[in-house]
Amino acid sequence: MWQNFPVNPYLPIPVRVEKVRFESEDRSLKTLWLSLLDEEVRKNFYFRPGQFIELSVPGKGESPFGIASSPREELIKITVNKTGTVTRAIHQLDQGDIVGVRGPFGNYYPIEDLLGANLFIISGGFAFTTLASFTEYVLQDWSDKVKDIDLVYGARTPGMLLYKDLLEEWKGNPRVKLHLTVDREYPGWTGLVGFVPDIVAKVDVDPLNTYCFICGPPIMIRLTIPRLIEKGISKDRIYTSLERRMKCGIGKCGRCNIGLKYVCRDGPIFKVSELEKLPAEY
Amino acid sequence: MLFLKLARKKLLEALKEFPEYSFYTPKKEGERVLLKETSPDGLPEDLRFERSTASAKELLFPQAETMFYFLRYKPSQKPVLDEGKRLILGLRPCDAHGIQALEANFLKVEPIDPYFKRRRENTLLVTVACLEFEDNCFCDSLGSGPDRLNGADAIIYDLNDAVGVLSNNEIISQRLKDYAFQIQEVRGEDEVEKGSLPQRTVEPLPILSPEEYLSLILEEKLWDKISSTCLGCASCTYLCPTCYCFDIQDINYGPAGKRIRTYDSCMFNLYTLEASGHNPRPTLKERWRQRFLHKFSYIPYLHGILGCTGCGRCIEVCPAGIDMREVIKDVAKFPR
Ligand SMILES: Cc1cc2nc3c(=O)[nH]c(=O)nc-3n(C[C@H](O)[C@H](O)[C@H](O)COP(=O)(O)OP(=O)(O)OC[C@H]3O[C@@H](n4cnc5c(N)ncnc54)[C@H](O)[C@@H]3O)c2cc1C
Ligand code: SF4
Ligand code: FES
Repeated sequence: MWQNFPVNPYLPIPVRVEKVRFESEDRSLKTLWLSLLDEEVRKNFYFRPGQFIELSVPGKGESPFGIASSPREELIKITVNKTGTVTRAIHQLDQGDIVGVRGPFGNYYPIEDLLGANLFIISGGFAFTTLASFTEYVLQDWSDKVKDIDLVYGARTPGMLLYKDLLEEWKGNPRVKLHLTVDREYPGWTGLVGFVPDIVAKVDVDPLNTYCFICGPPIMIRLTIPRLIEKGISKDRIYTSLERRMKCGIGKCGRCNIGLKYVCRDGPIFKVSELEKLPAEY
Repeated sequence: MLFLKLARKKLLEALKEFPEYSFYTPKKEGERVLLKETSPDGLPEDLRFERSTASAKELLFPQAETMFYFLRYKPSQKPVLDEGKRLILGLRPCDAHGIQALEANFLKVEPIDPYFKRRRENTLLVTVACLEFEDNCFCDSLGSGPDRLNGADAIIYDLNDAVGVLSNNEIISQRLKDYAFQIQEVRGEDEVEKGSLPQRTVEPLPILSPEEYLSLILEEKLWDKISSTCLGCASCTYLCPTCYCFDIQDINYGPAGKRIRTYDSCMFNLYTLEASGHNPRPTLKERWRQRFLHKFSYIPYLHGILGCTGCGRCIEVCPAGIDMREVIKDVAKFPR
């Protein structure tokens, strides 16, 4: 949290890019691993899956990115979609470059509430980042405390699926039921075919003991929620991570305000029952 | 809190006790009344100033400010804080209400905004109670004026042959003490002599509770109607004393540069447009709802203070002739 910034919550702290990798076949997604330069800061840096950082490329600007690594890992991992000024500059970064980070910001997936429950994790496209962090963390630290995990994850094509190394690992894990899907038939693809909401509709879950976590494009979120409600899952147990344009990340600049909430500070993760009270501005 | 009575001349004399402060007062320049640095010698004896085109916001939270520099693409770990000491004299009680709303955002909720904090600490805000209402103001309906101290450090009342100064600020009360002929310890505006105050002849506006306003959040028809003539120019939000939304941008001079923040506005389409092309507030209907409810519901709900000061600047500036007073009435009339 901003406790990391005793002086000024707007000042980025220096990080070094330790490793980069293209994540998707079309090179629109790039993954970066970052390490905090300052020993003291590194010792105190603590985040929970679901939180995000603001990454600065001085001279280009600053943008929010969900943390994709598990808190157990040494390096902070993010995956960046190339869309504009800042993200293009991030794509040009290479090993050894120094940039700035602020954070972690926002709330996190409510891991403590999940004792003995099934998890239904649903994601589409490159928004999979924080849910990958969450899944990995649950498997590392909480696997004896939660029941089974169903994971629906979809992308346009097989080449657009993130973190194939992790997906491969989870395939071998009896605790995880992976439902990987792509939008259309694809040569060599043996997984599911179809859009995420339709796949979700077909997954069998125990409605009374399942918590759902959705992160993806707004249209996917909007179509998925009713499918879960149809299954009899309570709106209090369906969580979704909202993406809003953000600037400050600390509830000051006003940009991410919806109703009484600031997505950067009170979110980005909200229960569907909370969202219903807000105008549909997501 | 102290109430000090001073002879008019004495007050002007006492201003010499603030040598480390630069003085700012409203000054007419062409069409506009700007907040300008002035010498304490040249002040009008009656202490009457025209209402400034922009509010005190621009001195505490300027339209553009540097946050820090970077050199060779490395951000300096030293923020750029404005150390100048200012005494702003002659603003109105509603402006001081605006400052209170800014304080709620920048100072009352963690983390504290260091830029605003430093400026606020270095500023003495001295308002003058209004003797008459301007055409467009409605502070009396909102409880923010025309005689309230609000977020000011002192307010001056016109007592005909003398002036009364109500202040909760140590520096001001200490330095004025020796010039006063009467000093009284008081709890607030209601215990002091205020001279003549403007009298209202029109009905007060119907102001609902934050909860009642919030209950209208999903009423698309209402927001559609209210926004129907708006052009989305955002002039209203730039001049609004409580609008604090800002953008953060980098400016480059080769490998060096600076990060700045500038006013931004919820009335702009680009404000919420996302990378995917998705815009959660696609039309002026959603933007007007945001502007109105942020002021009349969210800020009061979260901070216990109205986000509208009743200064009337948005009414004056709007090229579409939208009148906030009419909007307030329309909203109150809408069936709940
Ligand atoms: C909490 C959160 C987590 C995010 N996590 C990730 C992530 O893990 N990976 C990832 O690739 N992206 C993520 N994003 C989106 C990412 O922040 C934006 O794509 C990025 O800020 C665009 O910056 P830019 O300078 O490249 O684009 P700009 O040049 O500023 O603009 C390009 C386009 O992006 C839009 N845009 C600008 N800022 C945002 C924003 N914050 N959100 C959405 N659209 C924006 C603009 O309206 C414009 O259409 C996240 C956003 C949020 C709010
Ligand atoms: S000044 Fe008037 S036209 Fe411009 S955004 Fe405000 S309400 Fe709309
Ligand atoms: S991003 Fe600035 S308030 Fe949320």
